[in-house]
Amino acid sequence: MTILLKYFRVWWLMTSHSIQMFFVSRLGALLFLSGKIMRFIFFFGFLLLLFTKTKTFAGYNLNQVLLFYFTFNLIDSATQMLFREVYRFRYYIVSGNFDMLLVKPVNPLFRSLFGWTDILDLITLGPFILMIIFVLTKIPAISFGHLFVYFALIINSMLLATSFHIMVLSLAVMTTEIDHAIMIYRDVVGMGKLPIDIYKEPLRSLITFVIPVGLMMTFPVKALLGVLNFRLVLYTFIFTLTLLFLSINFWNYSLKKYTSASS
Amino acid sequence: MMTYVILLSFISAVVMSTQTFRVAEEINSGSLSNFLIRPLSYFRFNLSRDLADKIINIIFATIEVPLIILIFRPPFFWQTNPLNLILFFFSLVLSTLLFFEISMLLSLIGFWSREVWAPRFIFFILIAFLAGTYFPLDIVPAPLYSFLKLLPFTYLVFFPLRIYLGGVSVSFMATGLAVSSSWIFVLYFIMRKVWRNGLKIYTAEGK
Repeated sequence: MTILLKYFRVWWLMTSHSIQMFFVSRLGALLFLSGKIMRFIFFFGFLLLLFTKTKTFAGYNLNQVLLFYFTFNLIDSATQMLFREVYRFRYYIVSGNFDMLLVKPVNPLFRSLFGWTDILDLITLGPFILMIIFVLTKIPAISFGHLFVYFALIINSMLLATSFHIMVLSLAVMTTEIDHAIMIYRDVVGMGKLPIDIYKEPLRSLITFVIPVGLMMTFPVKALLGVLNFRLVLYTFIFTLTLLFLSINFWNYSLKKYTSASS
Repeated sequence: MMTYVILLSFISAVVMSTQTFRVAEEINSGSLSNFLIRPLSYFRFNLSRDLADKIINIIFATIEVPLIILIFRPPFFWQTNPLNLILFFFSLVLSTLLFFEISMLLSLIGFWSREVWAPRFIFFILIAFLAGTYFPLDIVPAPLYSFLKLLPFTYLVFFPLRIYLGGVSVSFMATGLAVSSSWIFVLYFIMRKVWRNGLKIYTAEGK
């Protein structure tokens, strides 16, 4: 418990630094925020436009598709908010400054993952949650049981995202490559904006069971709508725990390969 | 539809790959001075840098796209009409020039502000939707589509794609080529004007 409190205090300190930086470049931050909002509104408009031409999309009605889209945004923004430091990690490796993180009395993985909190994504989280609640009121027959599994699977999605980011960090330690790896991650995860049922086989299975975009973005909403069987829910949790275990091992392995070049 | 999606990745690789973001970095770091004293045109240098980048992307795209077609075997439409193919490649050249000019203009903001990434971020979001990379533009209501056809973004991705896919009138192609050429012409003069004004206030700060 003491360790958890310590790490929470460290995270809070790093987050407060991030917020201070937000106020240093206010114009840029506002423009970035406008861009994020614009992107959300454009795609939202596209979905509304789509439903003027069809009544269902991959078997889902408008409110259900919006729920998929809002949930995607919630998970994606929360991930971006927490793990923004990963985007800056390459600098530490190529400059050798990662040495400074290794000698500090804080877990280097924790520092590398959570060193920078993106306040802009934090700002968007509230509206996304409100929009999810609003859409939920429009969808009938949602039980508390389904709601509980939905929350559990969203937490699971965050753990999946954490595993991916740990793997990207490990790759950076070993190869100094990070930008392209994170771009691939962003592009692949972006396929989860809409229910994966829209994709044909074998792509659908590929992005469900091999590259788990489906588990991450679609399964929480499917569970909420009651169209996901219990075995798949169980599979999702087991998959995530396995991936998390593997990614942490990969990180430990990569640290052994760190050469501290350039320092 | 699948042809649209597949070809989209190829066109994006050709048209939207750019190195012009370096221009803003060079202005802000003061290293632009190194280029100003050299006996070369900074615009031509950047165009060459962009083309080199595009060649790499084209090589990868020509491997990736057939690979996707081979693996997933989507219904892909092969255009055989020579007129459409010629105009498709011609419109790609125009799109590339258009994108270069817009991208250069965004980087020239560096003369007045250090906030150069945020406008670029907004621009790419605009492109994603207004150039047809998310969905074909002709599905939007007719008045909005008519308005979009006046903007330069339409001619970056949607227009070349539409020519490749065929089924469009000669007047659509002729109007499109005329509008995109006009934009290239107008933006060229704006770019030169902004460059000259920027140089007047350039202080080589950071050097």
